[in-house]
Amino acid sequence: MTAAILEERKNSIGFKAGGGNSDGPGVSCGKNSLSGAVSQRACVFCGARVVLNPITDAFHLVHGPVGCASYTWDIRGSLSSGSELYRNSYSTDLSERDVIFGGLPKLREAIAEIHLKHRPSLMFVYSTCIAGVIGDDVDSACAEAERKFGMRVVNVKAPGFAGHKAMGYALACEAMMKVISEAPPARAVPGTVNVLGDYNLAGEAWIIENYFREMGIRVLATFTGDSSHEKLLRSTGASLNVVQCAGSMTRLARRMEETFGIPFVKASFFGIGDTGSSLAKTADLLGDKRAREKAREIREREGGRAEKEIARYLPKLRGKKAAIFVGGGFKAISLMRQFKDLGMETVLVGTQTGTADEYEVIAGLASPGTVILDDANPSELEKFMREKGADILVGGVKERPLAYKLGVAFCDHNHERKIPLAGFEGALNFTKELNDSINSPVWKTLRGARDFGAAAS
Amino acid sequence: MAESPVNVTENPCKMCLPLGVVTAFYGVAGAMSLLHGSQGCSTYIRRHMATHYNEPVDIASSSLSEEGTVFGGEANLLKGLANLIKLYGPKIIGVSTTCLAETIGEDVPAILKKFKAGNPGIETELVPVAAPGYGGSHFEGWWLGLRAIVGHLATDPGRHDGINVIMGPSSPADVRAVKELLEETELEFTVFPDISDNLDGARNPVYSRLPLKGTPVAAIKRMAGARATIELTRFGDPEASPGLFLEKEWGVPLMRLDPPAGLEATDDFLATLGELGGKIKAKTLDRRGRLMDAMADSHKHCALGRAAAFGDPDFVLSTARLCAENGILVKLATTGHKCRDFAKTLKPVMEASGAGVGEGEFVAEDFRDFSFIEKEAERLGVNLLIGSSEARRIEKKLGIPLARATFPIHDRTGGQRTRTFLHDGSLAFLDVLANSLLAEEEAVFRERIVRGVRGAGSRPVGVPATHSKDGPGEKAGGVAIPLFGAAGRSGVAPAIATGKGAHPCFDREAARRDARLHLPVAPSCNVSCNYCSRDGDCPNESRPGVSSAVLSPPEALERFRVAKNKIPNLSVVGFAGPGESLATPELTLETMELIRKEDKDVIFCLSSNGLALPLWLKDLRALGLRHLTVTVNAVERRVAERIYSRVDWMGEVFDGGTGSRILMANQFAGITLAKKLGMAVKANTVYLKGINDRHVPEVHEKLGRLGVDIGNLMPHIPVAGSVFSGLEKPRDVEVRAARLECEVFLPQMSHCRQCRADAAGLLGEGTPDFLRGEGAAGICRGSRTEAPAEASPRRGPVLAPVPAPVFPNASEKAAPGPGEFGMAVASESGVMADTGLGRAERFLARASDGKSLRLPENREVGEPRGGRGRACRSETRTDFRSGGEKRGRDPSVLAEKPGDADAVAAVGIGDSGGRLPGAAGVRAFSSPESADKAVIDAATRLLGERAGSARETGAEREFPATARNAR
Repeated sequence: MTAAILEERKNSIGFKAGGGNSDGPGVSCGKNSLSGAVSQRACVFCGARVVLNPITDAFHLVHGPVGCASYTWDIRGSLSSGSELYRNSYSTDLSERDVIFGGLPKLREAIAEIHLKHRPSLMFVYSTCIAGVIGDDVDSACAEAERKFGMRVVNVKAPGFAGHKAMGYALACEAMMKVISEAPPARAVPGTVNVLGDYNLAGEAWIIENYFREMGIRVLATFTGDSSHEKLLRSTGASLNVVQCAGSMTRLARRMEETFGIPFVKASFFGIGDTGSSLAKTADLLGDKRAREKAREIREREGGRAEKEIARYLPKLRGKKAAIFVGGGFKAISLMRQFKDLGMETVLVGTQTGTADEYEVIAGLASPGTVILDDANPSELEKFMREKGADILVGGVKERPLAYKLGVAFCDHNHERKIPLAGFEGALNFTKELNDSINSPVWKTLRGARDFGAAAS
Repeated sequence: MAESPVNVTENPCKMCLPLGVVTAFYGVAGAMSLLHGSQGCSTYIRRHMATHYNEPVDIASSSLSEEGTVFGGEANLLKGLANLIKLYGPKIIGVSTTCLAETIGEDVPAILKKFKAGNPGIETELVPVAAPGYGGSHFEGWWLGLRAIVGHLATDPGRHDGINVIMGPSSPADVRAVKELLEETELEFTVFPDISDNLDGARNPVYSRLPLKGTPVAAIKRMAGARATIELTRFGDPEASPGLFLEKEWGVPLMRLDPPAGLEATDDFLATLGELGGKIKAKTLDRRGRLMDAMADSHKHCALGRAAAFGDPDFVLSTARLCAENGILVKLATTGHKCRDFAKTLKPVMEASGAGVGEGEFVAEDFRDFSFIEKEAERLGVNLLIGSSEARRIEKKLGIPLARATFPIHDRTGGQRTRTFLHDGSLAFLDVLANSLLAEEEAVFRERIVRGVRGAGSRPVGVPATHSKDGPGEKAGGVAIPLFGAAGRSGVAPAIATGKGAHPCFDREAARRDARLHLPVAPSCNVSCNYCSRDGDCPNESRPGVSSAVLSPPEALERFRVAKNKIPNLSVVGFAGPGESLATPELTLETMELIRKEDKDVIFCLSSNGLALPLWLKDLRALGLRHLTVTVNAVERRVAERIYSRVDWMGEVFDGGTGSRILMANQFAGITLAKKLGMAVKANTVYLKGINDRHVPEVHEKLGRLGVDIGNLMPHIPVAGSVFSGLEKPRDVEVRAARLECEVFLPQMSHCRQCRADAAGLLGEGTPDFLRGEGAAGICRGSRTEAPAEASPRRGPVLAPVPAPVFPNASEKAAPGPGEFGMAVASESGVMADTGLGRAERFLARASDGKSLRLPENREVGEPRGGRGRACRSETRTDFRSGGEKRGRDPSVLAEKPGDADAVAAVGIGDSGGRLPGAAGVRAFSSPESADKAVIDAATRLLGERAGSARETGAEREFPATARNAR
């Protein structure tokens, strides 16, 4: 008989007790994944690459064997208004010989080759697992290339074993700091912001930018959706950083505050409520009364329009049970709020890299009996979705087949989504997505299908 | 086996070794995999497989940490095994190493032994596989996995009547079909591995997280006693061949057959089964007959095919064989794997794939990536891609349909059910291929015939009809033309497909890659801008105006030929001055026509002040113009009239006030029409401090509303000889700030390099050597001096101007006669007064009495370096980067040179106050006219002044004697 829960995982699983706001010390989080537990997390390199990859005109060169580059090729569905360079995958494709004799000569040649062919102004070199182990001095190769070719070459030391995915986010933030530290000193331009932690999946950064534009607020740079080397350099002139994906970008926001004196605010553009309050908050922090008024207008106009549409779906969704398993805690919190607005109950909520603070908020929002999971694995998701009778799972592509096998509906809230889920229109899209899966006639047909049980021979 | 010819793999056509190992284990009942290494390896592979197979893919990791990496991962691995067994209860675990574990030297077999010793109650089979990611690709991983499983488990030598069928990497549906066929033959068999259910499962009331189907462990054990083994691979490494192992170790005879795709390979397989005593059933032959019937039905459709097949080497071979049987030419066969004998094996198959009349080049290469495939597919004229969905980007970029097969398929559903094996699978695949070709043919054949047969003669040769058809994203010659602004979003530049060449000005990426050639064919201008001294700083496409020479259309064609020869990445031909391209539309259009005849793919772009734009747009569009730049400096008259002093419209000259209104109206109408015609429109705006600096955002707001795609704010570079020569040069920060403001309304170009009107190469590159001198045949044969190496943009001895016109009636006398005025016209072209006074290097000497014209001789200023009549210059002139301070010529020098003159006419006279500095009594006139008209005008003015002053003083005003009689 197999177990669904490993002893060592028990501290990472919490249950919201009946009554009271939080449940003891909360779930244990931020640790390395347990060996053999089949974690859903990727690695440090992946964390760094997904954050940096949307920088459209940067070169992303993976120094290591080919696999890491293969699997992260065009990994996010980030859209670009300019260069499509980032949608390619470049690797030094190290072979056995390189591992024995060192990969540095190949790396040097690769950088030179890319320089000659594409003349990029910015390149990220990702040192994967074995680059460090075999002792390649990637730093010196990058420095040399910078001198020789007059472009920015940043070494992102991201061996997979150096921690978990969130460590990769931190490395990406540091890499971006290296890039923007080169920007000429800028005075804060009134009425300008950067949006941090939006990867322009399905054009979401543009949706947010449109709101801000209407409010008279200019977005200097989005980190990193549809950004470019130049936009990043320009970002230092912003008056405020609006941090959307807190898990990946809070560190950068902190560093920019220290270095350039740019204050930041955490925001969420998932859900009507969160979007509205994030716009208002931004206007307030910029001290712009007109923008504040505009924010209210947009909330009423766009939010109202979405709410009117969403109202049609409410009777179909009310009372349905949702399971959430996403990357970061902030997104999970936003989703819980959205489900609440839709009259749905969150019965399971888990994240890959949530923090203790976030889990506290999650516990506060959760209704009694909700399961809270950090770094969950398929067997835990299976067990609790079954036990809690989840109607839909919100997660990434790895979790999708599991949900379907269990007869649970699914909503992709990860890299590959092709429908914007941010902003007011995103809230409506999200509702439609939920409904299209939860109330698909497929489930009824499957459950009601004829039983041939004994007929098979 | 080829070593990679490059050091960087761009868009890999392979995955790593552990992926192959893991997939192989999915074909064993009750198997799980654990990757000994970083957490990411397992997660990546899970994501990659789950998206293709649409099945949960659970792979454990030992989640090695920094500590484990330094001190060894034994503890992690032991714990991982225990946990995995607790969670899944597998019968067998494949423990693969990864790059990391191999590199730090983990002894996995020893650790597994230790685990077994420490856990005597656990019966799970533990199979170690050495799988460093750098040791090969997923194809090798597959065979290594199988070899490890068989080596570990196949230990029961008890003879039996069954046969082993060992599969190469294949789709679950194909494996299922092979099993069904084997059942029909009534042979006893073991298909290994059997991924048909675990990676394409049926719906069950109860979900089992452990994959239960697949080849049972017991059956694998008995493989050692089988009657024979059939291994379905050509390229599987014999070292890792499970079949060869069984033969050597257990004496099971091995037959290696190609994967059974297509008629011949399937027949071979079927025949072999027959030889082994298998029954060939009627329904089997029925399926075969249906394939054969279909082959005859679709062979003509297949004859349209020029295919590229790519993926793992076995897949490429069986696809090539199938294509060849059906008459689809296989022009390109590529695998990402290192594969001995790949080319040698594939070439003969490919060469036999046509109808035998010599089909040109066939390319078969191993160890290549998708950037190679893309390049070669385009070069070889491929019209059908066959392989994984990783080629979807090429499909989109080159507009070539992709028949999806093999692993991975990430952008379609049902990847696990693609069929290529056996008679029915081959038929299904053949239908897919033939239909891809048919769909393409059905979509274009009408147009092709209309264009090719009916349209011949009625259209300029070489101009694809599609060029005159409106609408973005259309195709010409099977290739999607990238078009800026195809998809739009308010205020944000849409993505521009960077297909076959893109426009460097519109696409920053293209700017680094695609070269452009500016052809200076426009000698004159129809608008006088106050900031312009045309050899200094006309903003039409940056710093045009500056050109060494004006070319006639045939000369321009010649230059294009030379450039195309030397610059392989030449994708754009631009018309940007030195004058206004549409002031002499006939020259511009003729040049475009000449070039279009030679090259139907090159992208044209044109810069214009917009005045004559509405008149010529349709003609330009018919010649394939898709990229347009219009210089718009103001959208309100109060500002515009300060910028424009004179507008020459429909034969009439208007002053700045009225002229501005005409100009702006035509600019707006032209831009609107251009957008309707599907053009990408860029707007240049010269940022003039104190003139339009505050107005610029309004300009771009208006332009944004008109649908302009991108704005380009260019800092004014004050040029001597222009009205605005005294204007302060804007500071960089001011322009950047203005750009930010403008960006609210219009995306801004920030990589403008302010090119010369005769530039060639990548943005920022000036005129290359080979276009300067002898290289451009017949253009300049004079001796040359080298360009100063540091000058940027490079300016060197440049092409000579066209010869001065011959005036048959003009007598060639040395000096002006009595009653005549001596004139010097600053002229680069030899035709027009087209050079600013401050920087003129060549003057034409003329004499006129105010009515007629006499041509004493061509007089040139500066050292003539070439032959007669040629003025090849060497010095660096105004360096725009330093804001025009660096002057190549001192005006006082000029005074000595046109010394015979009473007056000098130049296109701009700057702040000279109407007097030639340093030359007492020599007047300076501003004129943009033809040299002849400028001379007559000036003489008339002088005559008038003389008459006036005579009336005033009663005496003839004295003109310097030297002016008239020096010679």
